Amino acid sequence: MVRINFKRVSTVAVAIALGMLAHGRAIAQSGISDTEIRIGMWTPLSGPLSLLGTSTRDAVKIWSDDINARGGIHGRKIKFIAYDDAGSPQEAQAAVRRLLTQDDVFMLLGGSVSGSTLPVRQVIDRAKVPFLASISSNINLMQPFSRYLFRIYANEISLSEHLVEWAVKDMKSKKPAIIYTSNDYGIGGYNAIRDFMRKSYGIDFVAAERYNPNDQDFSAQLLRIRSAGADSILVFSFAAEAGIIVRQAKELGINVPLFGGAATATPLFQRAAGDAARGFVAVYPLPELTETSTAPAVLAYRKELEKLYPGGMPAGRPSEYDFLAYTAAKTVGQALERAGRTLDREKLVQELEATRKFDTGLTFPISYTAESHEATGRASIIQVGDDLHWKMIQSSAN
Amino acid sequence: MKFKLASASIALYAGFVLIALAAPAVLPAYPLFVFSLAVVNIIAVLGVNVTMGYAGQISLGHAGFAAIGAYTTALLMAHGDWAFWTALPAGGLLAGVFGYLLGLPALRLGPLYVSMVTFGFGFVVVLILQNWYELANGPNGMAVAPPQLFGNDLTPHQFHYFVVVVAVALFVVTRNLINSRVGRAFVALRESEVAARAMGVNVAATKTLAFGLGAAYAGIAGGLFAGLTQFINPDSFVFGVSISYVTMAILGGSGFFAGPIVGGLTLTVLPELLRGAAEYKELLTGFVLLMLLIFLPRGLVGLLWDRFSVRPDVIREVKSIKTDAIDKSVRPDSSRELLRVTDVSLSFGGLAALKNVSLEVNEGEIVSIIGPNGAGKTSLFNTISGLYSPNKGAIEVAGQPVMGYRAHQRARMGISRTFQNLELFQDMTALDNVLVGAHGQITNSPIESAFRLPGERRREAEQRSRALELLEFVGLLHYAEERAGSLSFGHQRLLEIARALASRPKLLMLDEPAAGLNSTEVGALADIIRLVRTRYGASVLLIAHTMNLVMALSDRVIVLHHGVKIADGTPASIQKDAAVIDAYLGEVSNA
Amino acid sequence: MDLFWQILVSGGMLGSLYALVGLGFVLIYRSTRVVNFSQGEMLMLGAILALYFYQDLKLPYGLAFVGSCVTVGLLGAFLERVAFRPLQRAPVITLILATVAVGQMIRSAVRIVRGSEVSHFPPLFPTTPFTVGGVTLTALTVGTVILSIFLVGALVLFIRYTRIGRGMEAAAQNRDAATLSGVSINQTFLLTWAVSSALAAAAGILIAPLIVITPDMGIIGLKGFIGAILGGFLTIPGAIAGCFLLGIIENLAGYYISGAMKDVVSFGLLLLILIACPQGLFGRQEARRA
Repeated sequence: MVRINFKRVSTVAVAIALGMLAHGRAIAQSGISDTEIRIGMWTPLSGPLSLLGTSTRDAVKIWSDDINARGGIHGRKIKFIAYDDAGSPQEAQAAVRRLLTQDDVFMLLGGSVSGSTLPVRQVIDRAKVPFLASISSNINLMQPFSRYLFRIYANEISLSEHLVEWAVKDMKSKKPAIIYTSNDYGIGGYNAIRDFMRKSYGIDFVAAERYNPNDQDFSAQLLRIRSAGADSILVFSFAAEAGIIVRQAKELGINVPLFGGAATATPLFQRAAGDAARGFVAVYPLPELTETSTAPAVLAYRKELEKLYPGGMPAGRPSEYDFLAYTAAKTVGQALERAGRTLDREKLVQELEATRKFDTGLTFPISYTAESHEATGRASIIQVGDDLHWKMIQSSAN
Repeated sequence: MKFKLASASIALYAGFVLIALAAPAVLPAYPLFVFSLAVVNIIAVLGVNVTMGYAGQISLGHAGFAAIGAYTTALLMAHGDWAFWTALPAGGLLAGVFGYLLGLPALRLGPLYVSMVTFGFGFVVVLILQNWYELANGPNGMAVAPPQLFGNDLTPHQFHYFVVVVAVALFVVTRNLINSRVGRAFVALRESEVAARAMGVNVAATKTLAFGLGAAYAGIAGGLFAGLTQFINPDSFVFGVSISYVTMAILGGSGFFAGPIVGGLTLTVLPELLRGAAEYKELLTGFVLLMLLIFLPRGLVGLLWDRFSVRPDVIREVKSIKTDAIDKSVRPDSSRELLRVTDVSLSFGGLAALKNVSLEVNEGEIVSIIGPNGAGKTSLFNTISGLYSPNKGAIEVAGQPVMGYRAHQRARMGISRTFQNLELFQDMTALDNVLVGAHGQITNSPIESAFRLPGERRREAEQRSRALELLEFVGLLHYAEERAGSLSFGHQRLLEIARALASRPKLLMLDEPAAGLNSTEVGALADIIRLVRTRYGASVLLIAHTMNLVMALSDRVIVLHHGVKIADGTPASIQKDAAVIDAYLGEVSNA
Repeated sequence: MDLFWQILVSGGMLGSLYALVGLGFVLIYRSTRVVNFSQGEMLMLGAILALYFYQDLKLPYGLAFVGSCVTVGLLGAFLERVAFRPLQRAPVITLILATVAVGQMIRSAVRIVRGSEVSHFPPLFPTTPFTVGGVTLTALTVGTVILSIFLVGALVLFIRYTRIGRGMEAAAQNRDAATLSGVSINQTFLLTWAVSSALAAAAGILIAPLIVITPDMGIIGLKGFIGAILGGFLTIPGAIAGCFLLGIIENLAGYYISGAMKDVVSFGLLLLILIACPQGLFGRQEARRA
């Protein structure tokens, strides 16, 4: 029998441990050197959410390559470090710590989906490293207010307000129903919309149906919505599931207008829904359609992206996450330009807060103040036309 | 030899603990975090190793237990104002209770169903956390306040020490348990459930304990995860996490003490190394996992074990044993009846295996049961030992009816047996096999074993020397630390007898102990069976085909034919019985 | 009342899809005692290959269907040979993990090739709804159910009346006896993997028009698996009945209790059923060990 005398071992261990307790290591590094600025990213590059991550990474890479080719910002080149978190909170925890302490990044850009961004919010805030988010639209990311967290995206509340205004005011829906997914995106969106609708229009959903991520059959939920006599259905879910939902709704003889949250506003939606996509309306966080827009900024970006993929553009690209991340990167760029040669993180935060109506032509203009780190409250309304392509039908002015 | 190996492993474990404790001094924050995370994972994997590695119960839902531990800890801290130090064990306890409850349906189910039940459990825990918004913000997750000590937040360095200390404590407890009565029962369950029952192991209690304990460890790991990352959400405990725990257990070496350490470390660090592979990471990890499973089925520790392990030498220890000690507590009185079987009938789906069989065995008597194949001999044994329940009839041992008792209870009432097709615990040592036989003799509770309380040590030592004595009795002392599965066929038969004797049986049932033995071995066996009576005072019920052995040993012979008792008498009278000759003896050559 | 029938019919249709995908699990498990967690990926691969043959290579539907089934069947046989045969004697859990690993490799390989592409398989039958006795149906759902039943029936006949099928059945009943009666176990396992992978592909192609094709679409396979367990894993009719029952229970729970909780309800039910009758509702005793 091999027996281990753990008693002796642990006595030694405790002694060592006590000796070490007093010992701490303070890390106060700057994230910059005379010749470089380190910018970090953790994002889903593998797994089911990799479209978001690869878009975000590519956008920042295009921007940093461009800056570096032109000699950097005030003599400092951008060193861009991106890690995969596979959309897993556990991996995000490790990746962010690696960026903050090992790689000593000056700031964080992009970030991951809400599920892997919310868990590290506190870590980033405590480290006092600025983070400009371009993927998560979760309200909780910005609450409570943190001096170091910024967002490029319109948040769920403001996106939802546009959606509700369109449905209730423009489409005159009296008995709307909602079907949403039970993740942070769906539940966050549902809560925001319900409250806004009640407050502004005094209307409640006649049916609010929830399903779980990865569900592939929605007939029970849709039948409940049908029984409730809804005159419109809001589909607050991701594009693939939304595709099944709109098809199953038609197959069950539900012929009311269907409209969707920002996650359905992608070309992937029609590919999932097929012909049933026609007439579907969605809220969209950008002023230009990523797929079809001929705005010069969009064309220029697409050209750069094609250079990264000489073998052919991956499906769904450029996505809105390309545009959001590219705008985020350029927003950082203009702040760094203004901050000048002597640079620290506090100065970057000040300059970001001084951003007013910064317009890349890809997203709505970006403005921040010391009180508000949400970039924009604006959004567009788009609809699937008869040719199964998205068409811009309304772009908000405020 | 023994001391060399022991000190080598002590050095290894001590080295690991020292590295773990020294880590904060030398490692920057990120590797330290990964290290802490690895230790947390190691604790969860230790839980998997208890449930699956030792007790052999598949669990695909350990992330669910971790979630229960994490959320309980976090909620008690947030809403109950509990300190982390009290909330953490509460989380582990609640997870343990869930594990125990989940073990209940698993009692009646085969491995496929158990894997699906545990899979479904993990799945449902995440669904409920996601949909029960009021409980803990659903998918938005909840922040966990940093653990505090004397009013100060713990730094990551201090928390790392705490995690390591918890891990060491749990490993010590596990080590103690595994080397005790409970741990042997776990492994026995894995190796042969039938034999475990026949040796007095309460299978239901043992299985649920294995589930509960494994779940409690996972729950503690979950609570530590909450304290480490200070944020939890349902996404942190999805099915993939359960799978990675199981993968760590298998890769490290399932059922090996060091398995969780090696597996947990390797697979926590591997994804960090593969981070750069981005789009190709999933593909690579899948490939690496598959290759490891194919080429290292026993895990990394298993590989090292097979190559370098040295069996400790127990001979030195045995010198002090008085091998001539005769058990005086049982003095047979050959006029007293020990076993009475009355009108027992047993049928399987309409096929009668036993028809109205009645028989008696007196104390100290050696009775043989003979009959052609399919006569119902083994069915009779299984009925007496409680593995089968008869359609009708009664069985009494020493005047006490045993019908209402299950197999493990009957074993503790003094019925012990061997198996026709050898049901040894193959992967345990010969010594541990015998110690499982003594399961009902040792009264140590799991708590006593976990902390190695003085009484427990004394009783363990007693049983250990008794077990060695029994091995000596059957002539296997030199093989005490050999894997039972590696012994020769004849030795395995003898080991089963030693194991059966360990429970201090009043009735020892030997199912064809001579099958497959050569004539010298049969001679030695006969001597041993005679000694069983004189030295241990047990009655012997023997199934045998070897007529020489039957005739030389038996006080009485019972003949079964097509489930009916056709003769019962002295060897001499049986040999002359016309019905017996007709049915049986005529067919077999007197081998 | 109409609504109740609608729920039953929708549930039954869902159940027929579950049965189709669940059977592949049952086939492999019966013969080889492997719980194949990569069955869902085979299904996904079948759908993607058929879509490629049909839409990109412009092959006729029948040819695309058969081509995809054959390709995936060959992949199944290949995997059996290189990955699962070496593990034949390994513990159950090792085999489960190996299938998880294979599934993950297939999924991520598809993702590398197709990116995050989402596609919809063009329906073979019209999707305009019509009403029969208050129950809304489409030609597509009815046609898919009929094809599923046809496929399941063909499989049952295949097992009963072909040499390969009988070999598979013999191995399922008793491995030793099968060896003794001259059935080559290795060959039978190879064929079992091939057939059940091809079946998964066929299921994927049939189901694809009703859901969407993504690397994760194989998750529906797990439902089929759970349905099969519910009914009794070791008999094919029991497994089919269990799948139908699961579809109906899900829809009833989804309608009358809560859409998000339907999986919780059906799992709770599964647990209760297993406690009450450990062999599943329509199952029979699994051969007792020792």
